[in-house]
Amino acid sequence: MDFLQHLGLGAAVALTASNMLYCFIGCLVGTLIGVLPGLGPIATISILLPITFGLDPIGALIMLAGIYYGAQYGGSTTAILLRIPGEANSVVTVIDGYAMAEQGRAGIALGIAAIGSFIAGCIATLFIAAVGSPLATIAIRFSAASYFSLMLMGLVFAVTLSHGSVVKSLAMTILGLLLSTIGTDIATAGTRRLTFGSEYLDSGINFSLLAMGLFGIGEILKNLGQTEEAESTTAGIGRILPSWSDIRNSLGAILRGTGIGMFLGILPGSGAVISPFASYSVEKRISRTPEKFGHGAIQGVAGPESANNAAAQTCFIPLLTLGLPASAVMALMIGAMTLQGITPGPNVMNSRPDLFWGMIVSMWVGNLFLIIINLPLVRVWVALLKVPYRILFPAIIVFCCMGAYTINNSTDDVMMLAVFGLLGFAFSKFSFEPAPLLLGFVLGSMIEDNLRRSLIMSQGDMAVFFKEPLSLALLIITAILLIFTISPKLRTNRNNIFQGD
Amino acid sequence: MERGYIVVKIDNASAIKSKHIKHYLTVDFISGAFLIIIGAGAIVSSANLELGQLARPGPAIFIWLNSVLLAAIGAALCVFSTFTEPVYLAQWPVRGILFVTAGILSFSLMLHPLGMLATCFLSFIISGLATAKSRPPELLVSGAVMALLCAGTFALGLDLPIPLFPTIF
Repeated sequence: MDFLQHLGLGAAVALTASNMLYCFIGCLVGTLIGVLPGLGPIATISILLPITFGLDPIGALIMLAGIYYGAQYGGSTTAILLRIPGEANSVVTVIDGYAMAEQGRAGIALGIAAIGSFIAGCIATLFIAAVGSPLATIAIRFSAASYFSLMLMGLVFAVTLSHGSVVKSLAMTILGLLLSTIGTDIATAGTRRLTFGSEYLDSGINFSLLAMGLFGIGEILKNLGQTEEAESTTAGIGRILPSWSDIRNSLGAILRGTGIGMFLGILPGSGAVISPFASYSVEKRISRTPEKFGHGAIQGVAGPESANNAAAQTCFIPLLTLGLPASAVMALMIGAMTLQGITPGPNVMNSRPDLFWGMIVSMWVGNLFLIIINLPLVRVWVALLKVPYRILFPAIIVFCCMGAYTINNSTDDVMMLAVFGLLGFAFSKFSFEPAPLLLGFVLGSMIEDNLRRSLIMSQGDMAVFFKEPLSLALLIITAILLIFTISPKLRTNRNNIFQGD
Repeated sequence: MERGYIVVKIDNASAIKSKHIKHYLTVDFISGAFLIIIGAGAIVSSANLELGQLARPGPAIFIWLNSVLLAAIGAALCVFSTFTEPVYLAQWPVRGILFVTAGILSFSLMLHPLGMLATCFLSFIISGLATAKSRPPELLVSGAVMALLCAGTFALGLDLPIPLFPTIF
């Protein structure tokens, strides 16, 4: 049977002593660097990439996959402990993860993130092994109009995340889209947009910088403004790791998240980025206690983290077969693979099955290592929180400055960090949530690109988005979602519509 | 729930006027106003870009769409802010903002001339002063530890090309 054959081949490749060692080193180093505030997965992978140059192609890719997963998990750790999302898909983890940390449940959040990711990884690996090849063909059916509708749906998911005002979150999403236009417009041959004559802005705003400033520095400024003691993390950290009842409560979220992540991850484009947002929306809608979301609901961490990991695995399919990266991190992975002599294309699965399946299986191995490395380490991370805030926050600031500098070896970036920090603080003062802005920012250029392409191909016919069946279906789902999100708010006290947290 | 039309029998006319205006400056109203300004600003700054036609969208279309939507939401916020419970801006932590910004800016200015060790040390201390609860001896020691940690991780561990020591001497 194909399924067992694939896995067998992959296992033969991935489970050699040297490849396991590479995987382990990758996971360890990726996690340690990824945990530093100011260094998200993008920076971590770029910094650690040179380590892989001296190895054989398969070994290098396996170590790279290990670094990728380690960096992802390290990013989740920073998101939960310090409210700094390292990458677009950690933005959702920040919401309930940080709330849990503030309640003294940081260890539980970290633990459930690791466990959920592992379960998702196992299921996703089996899924890919079973249906990987035929699925690759579905992805090609997507037209530009369908891409557009998919991403629109993703943006609406982001709006539904808000536990404050929906209107304000909508505004933030649009602001994110607007911010993404800053810089040079490639499609119209280098038109400069909204750069105000500044050379620095010509290359646009860097995502990591925006995230670090809005969330990291902004959070610090917010904490400094609070007159009460921000020492709530000492609130009886009795349980470091999730209890069995925690796991039972999250199991549904984990399985649903895995399903969502697996399917969205296969869709080329931003499916993988959207999946944690989708999972969060679903969990919030299904939950019997939706008001807990945003204030430390464990499903709000378990679901999105599982979706994340599942999508991270399945998005290798369009990545390797169509060469379409779902995010900046995946673009880096493509670059690294090309350096090793692997050009993505529809035949990669057939021309280099040892490599493809070896990577898939080693991803599972990486998940295993992550659990082994990280569950004990959770105690170390939680102990870090006990450092008095008056010493912790300057450390975070300096790390963020260093991280900002390493993006482009430019001190201008560090100055922008201050700007974004003040912006993030202003947002929190006016009760605007920054998460939708980040998603809007990430998806902005792809949305615009597909909007343009759809209009050009349909020769200006706006109805094209409704004529294509896939696009129409996605738009209907989006509309239903939007109505569902706004209506309960309308029914409750009308005075509270526009009030923030 | 009060609207702004309270008739107060005071002799001082200006007191009544300032009470009116401040009453409207709620968080929602100011945010709405800002959104309108940003939307309008974006449209104005991209006035030199082409809109193009529907069949051949130009670079400005996306900006326009978003700016108009943003301004519309801003206007809605402003209007609805008069119907809801007024929430006003709380105090801003001036010291915090000042020292954190100074810390970050000083980092960017000092890094090249003074090298990583000195920069990390100094910006740690400057940022640390952002809270009134800071203790100078603690700051000095932690700053030194931090500088060494950064040097170890970034320069030695990750081999990044940042000068450790001052380059202006």
